[in-house]
Amino acid sequence: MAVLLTPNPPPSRKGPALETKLGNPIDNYQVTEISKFERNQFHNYERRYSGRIEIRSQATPMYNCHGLTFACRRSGIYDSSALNLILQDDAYKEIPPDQVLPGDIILYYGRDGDIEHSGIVVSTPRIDPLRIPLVVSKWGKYHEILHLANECDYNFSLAKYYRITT
Amino acid sequence: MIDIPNSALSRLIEAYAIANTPEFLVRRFAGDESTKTIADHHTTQDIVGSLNELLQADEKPIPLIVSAYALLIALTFKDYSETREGIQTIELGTLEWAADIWRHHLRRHINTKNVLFPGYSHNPTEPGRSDSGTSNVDLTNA
Repeated sequence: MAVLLTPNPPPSRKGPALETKLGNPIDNYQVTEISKFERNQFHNYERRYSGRIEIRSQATPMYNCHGLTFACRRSGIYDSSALNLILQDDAYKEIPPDQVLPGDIILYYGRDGDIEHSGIVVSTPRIDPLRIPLVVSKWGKYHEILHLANECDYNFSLAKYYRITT
Repeated sequence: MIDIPNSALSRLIEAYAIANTPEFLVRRFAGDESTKTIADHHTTQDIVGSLNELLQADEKPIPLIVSAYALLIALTFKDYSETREGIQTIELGTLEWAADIWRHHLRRHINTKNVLFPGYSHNPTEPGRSDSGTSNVDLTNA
């Protein structure tokens, strides 16, 4: 039998013990390094979204968007299966766009069904007929950003909103 | 050494900068014409050779890391029968998401008829045996 193995993840991956509401472990790890070069890359986004986004924190690689949304900024969650486990175990329910409230979360899905980005709803417009909410999310290793849900480089067309209802 | 044009490298670096997950990185890189061009214009052996060369560098600035990811993702366009040997020769441990990317690739693109999981047979009519009897892929550590 031909045995083919994929490379193992770097052994240095470490993260705090996180669990879902049902006690299942959540795979996570912290990244500690960010280079000056990486920090400088974000200027491109600042120019592109100039006047339409607001930076609300320093850049840090310690957590990613999913770490912000689901892990209290303690660590990064990078695996879609871990995110789906959280949604299931923590009893998140999808909320129709017209019923979204501050505190709900937004998940941006990729074409493959993976969750490529997430954030927390900060406010919902009462007048705008499109009702696109303002969210806080973290873009990769960089800053937490306040932005309209559709003002980002992630796939808003497949975004869904969720809330813990129980 | 395979060169990635600066304009393409800039795009890839931008995508790398905001990637929250390996899947996002794969989607953005695979959707960039430069990655497909690498796959189309270079042999698997050339790409593996260049990737090895990049990963052996003492210092790994971001453009080098992004180039390495681009080459790795270019390999996912190649026939798996060509890449499965080459990938074993690459020291991918220095690329944070390399293992995740390759696992993602295996999940999505390898013919599942030829995958044998321990204790499980794909062939429902003949428990314990794969339908082809060849090319089983052990994903135990995947």
